[in-house]
Amino acid sequence: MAESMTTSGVVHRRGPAAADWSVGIFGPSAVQLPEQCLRSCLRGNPEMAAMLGCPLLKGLVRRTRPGALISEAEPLHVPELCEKGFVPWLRSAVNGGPDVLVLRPGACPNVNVAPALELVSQLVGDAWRYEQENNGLADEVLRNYEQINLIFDVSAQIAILNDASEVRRMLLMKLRYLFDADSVFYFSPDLRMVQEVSHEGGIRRGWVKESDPREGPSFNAEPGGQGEQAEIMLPRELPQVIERLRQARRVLVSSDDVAYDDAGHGTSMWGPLSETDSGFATVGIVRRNKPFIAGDMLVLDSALTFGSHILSNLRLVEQLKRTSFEAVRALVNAIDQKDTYTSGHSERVGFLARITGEYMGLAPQLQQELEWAGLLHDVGKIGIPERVLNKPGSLTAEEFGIIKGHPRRSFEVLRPVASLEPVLRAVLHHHECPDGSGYPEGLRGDEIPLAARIIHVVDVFDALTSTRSYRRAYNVERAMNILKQDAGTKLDARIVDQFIGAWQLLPKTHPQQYADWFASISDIGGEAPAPNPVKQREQQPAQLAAPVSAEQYEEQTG
Amino acid sequence: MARIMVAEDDRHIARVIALWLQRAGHVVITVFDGRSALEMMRQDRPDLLLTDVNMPGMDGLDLLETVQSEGLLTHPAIVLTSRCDQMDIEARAGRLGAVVHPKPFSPLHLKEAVEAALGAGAPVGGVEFQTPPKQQLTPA
Repeated sequence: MAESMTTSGVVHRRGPAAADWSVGIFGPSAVQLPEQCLRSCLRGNPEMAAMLGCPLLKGLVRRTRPGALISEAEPLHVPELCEKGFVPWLRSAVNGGPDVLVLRPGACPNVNVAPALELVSQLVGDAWRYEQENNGLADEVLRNYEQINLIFDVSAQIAILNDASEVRRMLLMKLRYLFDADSVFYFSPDLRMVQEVSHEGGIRRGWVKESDPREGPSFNAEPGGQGEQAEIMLPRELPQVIERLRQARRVLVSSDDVAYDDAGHGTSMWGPLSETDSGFATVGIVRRNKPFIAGDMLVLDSALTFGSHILSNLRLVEQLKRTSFEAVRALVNAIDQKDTYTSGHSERVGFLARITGEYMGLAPQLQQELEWAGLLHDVGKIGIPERVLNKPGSLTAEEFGIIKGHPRRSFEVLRPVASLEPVLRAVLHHHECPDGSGYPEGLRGDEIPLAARIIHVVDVFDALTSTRSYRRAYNVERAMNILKQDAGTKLDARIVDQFIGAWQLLPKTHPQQYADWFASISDIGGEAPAPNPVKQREQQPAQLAAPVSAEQYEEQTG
Repeated sequence: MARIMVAEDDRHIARVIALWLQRAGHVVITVFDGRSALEMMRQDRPDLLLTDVNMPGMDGLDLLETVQSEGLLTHPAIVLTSRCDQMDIEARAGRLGAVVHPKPFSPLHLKEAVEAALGAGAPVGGVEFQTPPKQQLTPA
């Protein structure tokens, strides 16, 4: 038996009788052919032996033109082989496949190797093509797996997200991860706001300075970011890309090697994210060192399509909510009209309750419930005779008894509405006091639901600053002093603090409502209390701070 | 580079996993049932075991228990299972120091899991329940 020619790889021999023949398969692509695959392709040709990865033969690669058949008539001079007494026959690969070499011992000159060589070449070529095809299919499978996982992940998390900006944030983070991108950009549909997710996963926001971004990318850092002017570097091809997206509305890859910034080069991929009925936001993925391929575009396309559906669903839900809220507000305003002195009271209480919850860092859902509870807390007054409601002087014990029945009546009116279930307790208990002197149940301290305590404080404030049948409106300073006086006995002291904090920011945070409803009553002076102790503890930038549930709030501040 | 054993009875999935891990520079040994996996683990002592749960003959968790008791694992194993069974499997696999990944797997997550497992020491079996790493939105 001839000495094995390989130092690594596998050598098969066809047995003692024909021990001196060898078939080598080599070339740059030979390593991609697993041995198993070769064996199955050479099955039925047991006399052929496959020799993989022979280092001696690697030197032969591309010494001849592709597809050429080298025979004794046109010998290939390979001293290493000739020294060992072999005559090499080579079928050089076509189309990037592996080369096939048959070594015939010089001692058997009369055997014609050519037909066998042709056959093996063909088989190996086929095997190579199948392998290529398999690799391509495997790529496709891997990409599909990644896509499916993206959709699983996003839909699993969507259940807890009811805020469009959260969905957007998650989508951008996910894209950054999926493409191992250096940057992911997001431009709002009106092209005024930009967000960038960095390779490290940090998010920055900025506002476009010019009204027309095509004039050139010039961006401001986020206002309120401790005066820090963080420059967001934008891809230079941005204006053309946005124009092309406007026309095509599908994912595109910008031309190769577009200058990304002064520090380096990168390619970028862009796609539309439908957010409004007419407009679309633009999402850009920038990656240095590794260009995007067609498969990447497919992934981005499906991610953005999926994201668009979620965002448009959220928008529809939001519209429905707004419609029902506005309908209820109209009805409640009609009820308020019954009492000449309380016009607009419920709407203001709803608003003040919500902004207090916002200031306290409560979850958006709770803020919404506070607004509903505020809006509806007095609907029970519908059953109170107008002579009692609008009585100019002080009330008799009997009349006061009628007034005290209104929280329970509000509760009874709202109870059949299933979607209002979360606000029922706030409505029922909005006249309870921490010292137990309130009604209807005389609850004390923390027995009173958080939302009810908030409604109570803002209800008292709005009543004090409104003109009533029995007195004129107090100014804000006087009303606040009364709140402070009652803090701890009639009113929850922490809520009073938080409400004062929210009130002081009001002209800045909600200038429109401030101007419409409260500008006529003068502002108060003095120090603002520490805003939102919960948020401070989290040490996060405000826009990313986790919302707080009612229980968490009690736990962390109580 | 590590030597990784992939035990998965669905040959196509095994093929895809092998290809993916090979591209990451690893050497992959593929077997299609639990018993062969056990034999190969004893003979070959690969660095890492990546196994499906449902396999003919011996299932992935039995395999895991056996190789763990024989001390054949040098790194925490990775278990693949369908999304529907994930919760049930996690408790048992967790006790064996393995991390569970849902199928169809995310190639990126799987690669990270392999790297994490290779970076970790031999698993402690028997007592502790290790919560598998949840997929993170915010990379650390």
